[in-house]
Amino acid sequence: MSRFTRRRLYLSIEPTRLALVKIKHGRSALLETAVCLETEIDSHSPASGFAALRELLKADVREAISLQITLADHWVKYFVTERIAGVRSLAELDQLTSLQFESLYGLSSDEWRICVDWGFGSKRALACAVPKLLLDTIVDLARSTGVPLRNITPFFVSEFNRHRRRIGRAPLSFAVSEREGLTLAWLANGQWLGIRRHAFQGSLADAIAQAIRQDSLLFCDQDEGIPVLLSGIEAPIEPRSGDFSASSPQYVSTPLWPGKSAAWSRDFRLALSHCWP
Amino acid sequence: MRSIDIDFLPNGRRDTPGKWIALTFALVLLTATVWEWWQLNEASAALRQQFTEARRQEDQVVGASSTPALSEKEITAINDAVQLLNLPWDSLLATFEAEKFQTVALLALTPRRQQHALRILAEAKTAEDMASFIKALQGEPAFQNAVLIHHEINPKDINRPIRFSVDADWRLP
Repeated sequence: MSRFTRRRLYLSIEPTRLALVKIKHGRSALLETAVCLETEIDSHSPASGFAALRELLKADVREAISLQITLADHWVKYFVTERIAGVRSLAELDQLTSLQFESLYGLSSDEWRICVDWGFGSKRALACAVPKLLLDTIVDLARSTGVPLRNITPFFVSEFNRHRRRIGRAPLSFAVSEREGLTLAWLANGQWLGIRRHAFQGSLADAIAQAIRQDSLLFCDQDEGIPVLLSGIEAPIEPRSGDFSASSPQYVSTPLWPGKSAAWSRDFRLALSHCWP
Repeated sequence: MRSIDIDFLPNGRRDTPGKWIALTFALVLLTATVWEWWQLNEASAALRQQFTEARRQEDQVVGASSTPALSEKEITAINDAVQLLNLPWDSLLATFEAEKFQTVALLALTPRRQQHALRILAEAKTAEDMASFIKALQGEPAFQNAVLIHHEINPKDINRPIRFSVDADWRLP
């Protein structure tokens, strides 16, 4: 292996499929292998669903310097948490976030790992929760293969970070689509107003229109003229118009991986979210 | 908009080359900082030493210029003057203001501290007054061995007074 080339592994975990991609990063990124496994993963007993992946990772781990994992938003519970004036310590803040999670989703926070992105001085923050059992199984699996685990990121977070330069202080909505799911967040003045995940079956365009209608009532006092940026797997709308002032959703991502088909791009879109062009 | 800082990989289990690079960088930084601190400490100590030396030299120069040297003779004269000023003049003068000493006119009192002696220069109208003065002086407890040293008559004065000198040992209180 050349001193200047690095092989990285990208793994996506969706409810019914796992996708693993190995890319050689040198002067340019070169796709080496891409494997998609159809498997059912149950968050209550995830180990059985990862059996095939373990063998695959062992075979592909050679010369790989890192593994980045993207979790489908199907596994993730998103919410916006708010810092209350009476909170005096980090422990109390964690407790508050857990209580907000339990109140919102009606689930026990003991079985979920919650991460909050508290920015400096911000009162509102984006929070994500992932089942602990699923997370521990993933980490143990990755560590057993010997490849250094670099990060585990939800799909929405990964897509948002890639497009964050498009997002200013003006009110807007940012949506990330998956198979049969859509995560829609609302922002204004650099603050999170709200975020919800919507399941859908059928037309994504209809699902987006309905989600926007519902969530604008919840999170935004302005029902028209708010730009909606869409990224993710499903792209029912014309890609990249370049004009983000219109109120209709605009797909801001590249729909295809260079030189690959639409089907291939859909299969590995999550796994390659960190380096999608 | 800033990026979202959310990663579900537990911090303690993060295992990336970046961590080792950061650790190495931190160690290098720490070493550089310690070395820099040591250098500054050395420089500071040297400066302190220079400052102390300069201060000492300055003190010497100032001390030499502000304290003029006195000769032994001058010191003795100053000490004598101080001793004279410290004599109990009030009690001495009060002694000579007594009735028995009013027969003569005192002209000068010259104390000699080393010898504990006092020379009295006075004028009397008659020899009897002079003698009674000396006798009264001999009877005074503060004086001993009062003796007439010299006497003469002033011919230029129409009253022709007798000017005389008496030495006496003086007991300082």
